[in-house]
Amino acid sequence: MVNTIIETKDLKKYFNTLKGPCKAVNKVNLKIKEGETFGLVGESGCGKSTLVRTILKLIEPTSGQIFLDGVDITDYKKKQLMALRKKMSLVFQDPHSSLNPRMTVFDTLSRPLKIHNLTKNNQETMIEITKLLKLMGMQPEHMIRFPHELSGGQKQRIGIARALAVKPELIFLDEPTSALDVSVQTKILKLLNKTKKIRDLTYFYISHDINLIRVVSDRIGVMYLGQIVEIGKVDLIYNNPIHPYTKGLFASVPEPDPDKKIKGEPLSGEVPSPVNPPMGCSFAPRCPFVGPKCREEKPQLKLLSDGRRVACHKDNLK
Amino acid sequence: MSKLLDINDLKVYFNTEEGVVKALAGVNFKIDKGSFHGLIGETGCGKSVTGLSILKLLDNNALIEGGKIIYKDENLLDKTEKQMQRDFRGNEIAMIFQDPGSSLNPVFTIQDQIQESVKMYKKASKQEYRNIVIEELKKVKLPDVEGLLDKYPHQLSGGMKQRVMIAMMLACNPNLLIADEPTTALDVSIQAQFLQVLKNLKEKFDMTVLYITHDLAVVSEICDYVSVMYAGRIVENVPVRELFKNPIHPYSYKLVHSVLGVKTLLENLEEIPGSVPRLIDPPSGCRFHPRCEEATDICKTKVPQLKKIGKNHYVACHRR
Repeated sequence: MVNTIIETKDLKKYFNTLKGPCKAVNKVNLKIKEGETFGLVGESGCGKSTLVRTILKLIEPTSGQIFLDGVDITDYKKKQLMALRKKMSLVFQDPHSSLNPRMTVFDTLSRPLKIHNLTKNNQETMIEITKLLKLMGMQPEHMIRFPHELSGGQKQRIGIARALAVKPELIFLDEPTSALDVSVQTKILKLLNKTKKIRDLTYFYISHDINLIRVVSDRIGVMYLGQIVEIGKVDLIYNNPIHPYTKGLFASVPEPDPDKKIKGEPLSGEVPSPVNPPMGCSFAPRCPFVGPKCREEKPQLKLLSDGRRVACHKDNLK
Repeated sequence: MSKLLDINDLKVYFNTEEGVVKALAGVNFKIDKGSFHGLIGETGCGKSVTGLSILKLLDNNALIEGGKIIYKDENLLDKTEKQMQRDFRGNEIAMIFQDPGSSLNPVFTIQDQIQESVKMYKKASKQEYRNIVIEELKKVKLPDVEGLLDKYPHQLSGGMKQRVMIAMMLACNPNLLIADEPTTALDVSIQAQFLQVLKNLKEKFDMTVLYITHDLAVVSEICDYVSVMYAGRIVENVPVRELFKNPIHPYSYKLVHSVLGVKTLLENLEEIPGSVPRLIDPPSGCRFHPRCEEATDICKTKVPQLKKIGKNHYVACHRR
């Protein structure tokens, strides 16, 4: 039996705005199993990053519960959170802005080690950082460099090393390669994959890049306007997306094959504002199969025979 | 098909505090009339500089060291600033940029911004201008056109802004459109809508497009012909099908095979060793040689020239 590392129950995060509450995360139920790579895809503004920040307790949830290794961490306060930070860490999207330009690589990487008392003296810190750099395929001499002396790929390696420094069980990767070129992207993805095996990690990727999520994940969740609309094994969803939004989203992705073209406009219209989301199913205004029930009642995630869950009112989902 | 644009051995250098950056060191490609021409390469390879050079919109520290940009039998590099502004920019060649948010003026309404370009070439009454703007906005399939006219850019979404940019450029009826990463800031579903608009325009108005991007999937979706650029030089000019089926230059090969989606297993993705060279001090000979597995002595000393290896297929490599 594989343990569940993270579980959320009816997790909500609303932001107060002048026009009313912005429902960024709206009742998300999610289970992440130990050792898996979970990929969350969705378009910008769908609440991916907010969901992750809420799970990490970087922002307070509005309601709902978060469990880490079966323990309810929803109401954890400062001191308890310190212990939490050693279990989960985060790699940011833009390596150029997530590193302090006035700190050397050594300073950046020694911070988490010192804060969590993981090393006793400078020498131990040095040894630990050398190990981290080696794991990232970098040299000890990079320790004295400043971020501006590193390339984009190297900066992101430092970002990953910083997340690894506290020896976490779970790493959230928020669009880790979207600021990098394709050739560098491959290197970083392979490095992350290798590190996962060496350190026995669980990964939670967030990305808008569907092809990327496909390559790295075991299971994926598709998010639309604060809710998960489809979740299940990656191959199942790729080969046969069921939710109308998933279908449209996947059909919008240009394939790198000149003989396969996108047909027409797979998804018409635009994402509605999360400040005033539609009453029933949030996808109803753009959905080609919309029925009267869709406009009134929010669909819940239903378990299908192949093990995936889909939130749609349509009968005989296939 | 006839040629619309012919770039011949274009060299552009930049003076910087650190030294002279040799951004373009011999760019060669031709664009046929009515074709969708893709220009691809990684960050910093000179794609955007090439686009800007065609319109002569480069910064003051840029030096055009040599080469020719022949547009309809005229060398644009010989034109003065005044001639460029009067005869070419907008009405012959137009450009749309990467970030639609920052290329529209936030304090003018959509109508003001679109009719500004019309006013430069056409005298008309207020109502006529309004009608022209409405026509243009309809061409890019924007919903509720009348309601849009008096809105400001911040009231529009990214996808809508990018369509307004196209409408603005269409208003002058250009023959060549240079699109510099127009969908990088957009979501995939909005990108699909945008590409659809471009395809329709091409069919209806027989427009020629130079599409600058790093996204090979988009290239396969809309381009007919592709120029692959590496560190300021074109390494391969190739029809789009050939690029995906049979990329010849070692860099093109690696690039195509590092695209997610061509390969669906992480282990099968190709890596390119090393990193992109700094163009202040570029490698001698073929600029790709330090990262190339097949490099020999000649690659280090002699610059490879583009040579024909198939129908419409040109490659700059000593080893091919």
